[in-house]
Amino acid sequence: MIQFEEFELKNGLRFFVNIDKTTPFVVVNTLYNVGSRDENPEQTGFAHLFEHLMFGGSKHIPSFDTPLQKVGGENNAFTTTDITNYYITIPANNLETAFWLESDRMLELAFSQKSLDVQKNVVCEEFKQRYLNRPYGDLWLLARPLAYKVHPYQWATIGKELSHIEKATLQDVKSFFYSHYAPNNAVVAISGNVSLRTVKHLAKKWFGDIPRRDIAPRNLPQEPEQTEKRTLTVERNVPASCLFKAFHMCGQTKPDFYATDLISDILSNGKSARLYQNLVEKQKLFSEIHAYITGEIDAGLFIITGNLNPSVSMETAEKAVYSEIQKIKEGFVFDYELQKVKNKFESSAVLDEIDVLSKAKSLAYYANLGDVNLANNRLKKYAEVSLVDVKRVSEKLFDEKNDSTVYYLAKQ
Amino acid sequence: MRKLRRNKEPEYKLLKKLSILKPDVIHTKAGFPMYLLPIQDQEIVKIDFVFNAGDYYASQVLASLSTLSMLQEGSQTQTAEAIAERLDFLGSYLSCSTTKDKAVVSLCSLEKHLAESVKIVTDCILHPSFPEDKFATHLSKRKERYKIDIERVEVLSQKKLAQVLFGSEHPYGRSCVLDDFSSITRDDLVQFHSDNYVAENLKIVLCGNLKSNEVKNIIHYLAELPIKTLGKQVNRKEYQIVSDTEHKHFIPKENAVQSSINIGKIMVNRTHKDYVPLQVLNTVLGGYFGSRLMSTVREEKGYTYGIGSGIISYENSGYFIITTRVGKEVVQPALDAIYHEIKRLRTETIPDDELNMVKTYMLSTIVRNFDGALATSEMLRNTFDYNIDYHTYYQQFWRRVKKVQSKELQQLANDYFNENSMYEIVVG
Repeated sequence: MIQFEEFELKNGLRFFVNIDKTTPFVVVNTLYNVGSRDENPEQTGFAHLFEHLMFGGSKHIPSFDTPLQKVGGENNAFTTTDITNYYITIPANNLETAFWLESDRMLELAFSQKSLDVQKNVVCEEFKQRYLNRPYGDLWLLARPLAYKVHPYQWATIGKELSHIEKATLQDVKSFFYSHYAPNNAVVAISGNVSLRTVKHLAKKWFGDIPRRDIAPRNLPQEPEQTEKRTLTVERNVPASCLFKAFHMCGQTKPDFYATDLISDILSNGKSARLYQNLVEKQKLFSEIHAYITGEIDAGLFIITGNLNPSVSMETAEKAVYSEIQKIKEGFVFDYELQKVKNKFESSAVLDEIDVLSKAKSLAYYANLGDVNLANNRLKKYAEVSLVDVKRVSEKLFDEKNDSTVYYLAKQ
Repeated sequence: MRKLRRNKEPEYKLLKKLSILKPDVIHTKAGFPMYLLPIQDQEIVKIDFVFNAGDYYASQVLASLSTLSMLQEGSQTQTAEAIAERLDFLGSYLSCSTTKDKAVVSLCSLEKHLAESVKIVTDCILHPSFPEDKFATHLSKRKERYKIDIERVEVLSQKKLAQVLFGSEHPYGRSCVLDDFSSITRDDLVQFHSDNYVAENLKIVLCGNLKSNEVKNIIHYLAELPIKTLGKQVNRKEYQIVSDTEHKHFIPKENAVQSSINIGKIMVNRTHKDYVPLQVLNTVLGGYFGSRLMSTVREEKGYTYGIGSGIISYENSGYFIITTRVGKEVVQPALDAIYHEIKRLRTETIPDDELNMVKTYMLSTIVRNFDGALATSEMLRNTFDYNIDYHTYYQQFWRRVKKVQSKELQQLANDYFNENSMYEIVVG
């Protein structure tokens, strides 16, 4: 259970505070409600490029990292399709430094051409390192546009192609900032050795005078129901062929989200899970196989992906996967099995609560999603999932028409 | 209200002291030590079984890792399926990891399921059956993963650096090749287990609510653990370090769009008097986000997504390593920039501002590393290789960082960080 207090400033910035006196540190987690789904299709990769620029100095502070390191703080950030999340861990005594830094870059960035030029290069190298220069690295770049024809989830957070990053101008960057970075489009979650009074005081002092900005309401085209199975076959220089399946699932805020997540656990969480036991250990078709959900806010994807053992044909491998999901559709799931994945979820949730960083991230994430109480109530939602739900959800989920498959073949 | 001065940093305080949780140490019936660290408020328990059974102790390169991984593939009384099924049902996490020197089995469990989980896991550790069919599957999975790994430039260059530094016969330098997967047998594992998974090689670290009855019972159970004893300390075999005579190596990799660069040399380990100041030098150079290498190679020139350096400490030796991946077309300018930064450590004294920042960063990192029982247990484990008192060691570490001066660092840089003594690997 994560205890928290909340308050809101006049400019719309919301704060969530978890007090944890067992640590000498505090985490300040600032989440902006902007991800790659908010990008222009011709300028993809911007949300993430922007995350890099947020470290290149702000209006009154030439460097973000130096003053933070000077007081013993540490920080990082990540961008997803839905959000951009920045976090600082700092000795509790020096909390004010985090407020000073984080508020100045919310107020206004320095927008330097030099910083933009360098970060464009850095992001291009990141693109190469993660997506181009590693075996199977481009799988997601192929799978997203196959599964999504309309919704902006069709491109990965890194962007569709290097050229979008290369072409970014300072003007593009500025307009991105003012359309998405604003107190009324962010939440701050704090966890650690602090008092609510101090946090309130600092929040008002440093963030209070940042003006609200006009944030256009999000109006994203939602992905229509898929009407037939889609496939894409590619050949690559990799040691083993890979089967990659994506099924459309519901969004994070929908009631069936929890059942869908548990279905992925029944298939793939732990060594006793079905895909591993049946397809790796017994039938020896795959060297590894996993099922997981993307867990995005809009309708996301349920992924099944595995590497084939040498001399196993793609056809055999796919048939075996179908047979596993068929069993679930037919209701061949035991009470015991459902209880097992719920138990696993429970212990992982307890583990997460030991750490101030994961508590702060969780509060910020669910606050942004619309219901901060989910940070604690999730457990109950998972516990309520029944076998009937599993059958009903999997029938729709694993419909063949809902399937987008990449056959990623090893070049002979 | 007074106008806010946003260009002025708020007042701050430096961390004044390091407080380190001291574990209770229990001497067990079989003679191995068990360390207990208290967790407050959470009903989670973590137990690490740490064996001196890393690659160093094996005559074959896959023996250590395979023995460890196969522990959960069946015991004399439980099948692999039953083990996995039960642990998953209890929501317990079992993980196995190896370093060059150690093999570690870790169990994480809710208090309410602790007793049953521990009994399953200790049975796996004490009485593994190493079934042939499971071993075959294990090897085939490993082999597939290996084939993917060696497609990665950074994997290739790190393997190569270890090999040129230590020599391919040395356990710190050798690495697996494809043939190793067909030469290892079940008998090798049985033998390795029997020789190395013994009381003299074991230390246990338990983190949990030490006041709860469930945890007390388990401590009692582990204190009586009937693990085999040899009756004598196991001797470590001595190996000669044979560094390559050639300092620069290039391995071409077709179709790579980035090249992996590793630069390094043999260096001292944790027990040496220069280790702490060398860690300070390393941090200045490439050990944190604001390091000189990050500032020039990434933030100023944009050659890479990341660059870092570290001192790897092994039980008998250690080495220094710089690691990065850069665009193929900028390999040479990146190398020049790296050597330039190494040279500056020798030719210039580190400015006070920078040194103070690095010290603050390191001191707060150390404090963070002791934040809570789980973090503390890792720090404790890090000292197991060296026969040093963990509490004294880290308090001295902390004081040494505080005290170190730039003059002294420059002298050390001249002793240890000569560019000409470095080895260089480029793959791509």
